[in-house]
Amino acid sequence: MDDAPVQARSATLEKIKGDLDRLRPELAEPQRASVKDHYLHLRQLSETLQTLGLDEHVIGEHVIAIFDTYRTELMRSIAPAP
Amino acid sequence: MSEPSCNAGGESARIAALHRYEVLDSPPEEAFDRITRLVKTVLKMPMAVVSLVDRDRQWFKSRQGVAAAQTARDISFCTHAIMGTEPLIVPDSLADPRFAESPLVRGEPHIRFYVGVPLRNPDGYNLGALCAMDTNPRTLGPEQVDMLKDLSRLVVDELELRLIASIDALTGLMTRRAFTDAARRDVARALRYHRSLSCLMIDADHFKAVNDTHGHAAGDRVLQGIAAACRLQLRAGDYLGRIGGEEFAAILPETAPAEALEVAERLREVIAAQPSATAAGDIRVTVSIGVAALARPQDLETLLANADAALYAAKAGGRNRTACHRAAERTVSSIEASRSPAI
Repeated sequence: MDDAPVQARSATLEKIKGDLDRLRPELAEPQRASVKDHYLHLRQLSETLQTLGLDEHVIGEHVIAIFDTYRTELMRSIAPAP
Repeated sequence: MSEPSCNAGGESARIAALHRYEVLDSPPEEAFDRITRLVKTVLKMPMAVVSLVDRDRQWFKSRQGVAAAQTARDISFCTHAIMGTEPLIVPDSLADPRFAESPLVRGEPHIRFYVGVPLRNPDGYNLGALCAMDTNPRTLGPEQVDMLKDLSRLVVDELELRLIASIDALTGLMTRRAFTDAARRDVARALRYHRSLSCLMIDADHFKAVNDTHGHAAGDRVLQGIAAACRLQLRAGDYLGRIGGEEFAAILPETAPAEALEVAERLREVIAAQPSATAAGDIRVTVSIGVAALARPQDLETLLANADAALYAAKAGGRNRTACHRAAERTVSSIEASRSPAI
């Protein structure tokens, strides 16, 4: 069985985790807790979508897209006010 | 309407919790639309919404396949969904006496199938529901319900992130961004309706020396003490933000300059009189305060700049004092000039 798609999904989650870890030093404690929860929720969604039979690449795309909008808002929240 | 059993503190506490997010009537956002699109696509449903259940209405933060931006609460399915902790599934609304006569079933959008997962925040309040609807009766598999549960958590993540971003972690006051957003709205409202509005700019005197002498933990306690004192002295409707390290700003809606100056003086006196208890012992600090009133025409940036200029004058005048920007000072004839050097 070709496990490349599964690796792709895992790679997506690893990339998200890496991005969040890099942001950690800039975050206040409540934001760190929020980020940790968000990652766990994304991972859970990824597993559920897999049980629904979605293509692994499609799952990766959905997960990364949801994370991207979250990260945009997170970055906005830690950027200086206009 | 009966009280939801799962919302500690009852319905009024749940409504207060919802309003803290300040999300009602906000513009659509991709973060939420992406989730409802995913629900619609994966479940092959014609309709999906993020519904927030307010006192008398349900308002949709995101909606796919639904024309209305909100509906009355008493006819909504979601008001039932928020009363439990588990998803509410209505396989055929015409066969369910709770919904069979609902105008949402008998008329547009002709809901026959409904599934709603409560949007439960970390404090245990169900703010609304993530739901999907069909015009035909149907069922869902457990994995499909699990996906909705997962997505409901991501919706709450997004709401929480916005709430966290609006609150300063150290003092519990509004962050600079949240303060600026709120102040911009109130300045526009005051200008539109020709109402008074004043701004205070508050800065702790010699704060660097506190940090250098007693350490940052003690400095943090001092900032918390200033924030607490300000909260106690400001009135309902006034609000305060931490806009810099040791700098705070307050907006006083419906407040003329003379009254704002009185508030500022009272604040200054209270802070000077109350030492902050820290691990390094009691630390007494003073603040300098700049006062500016909204002029016409004017924008928020000018108002803040005027208050900041007045603050600078208070600092230059020896600190532990209040100064009023000249535009406001002209209308403060009853305030002693010696107490309030104009700039």
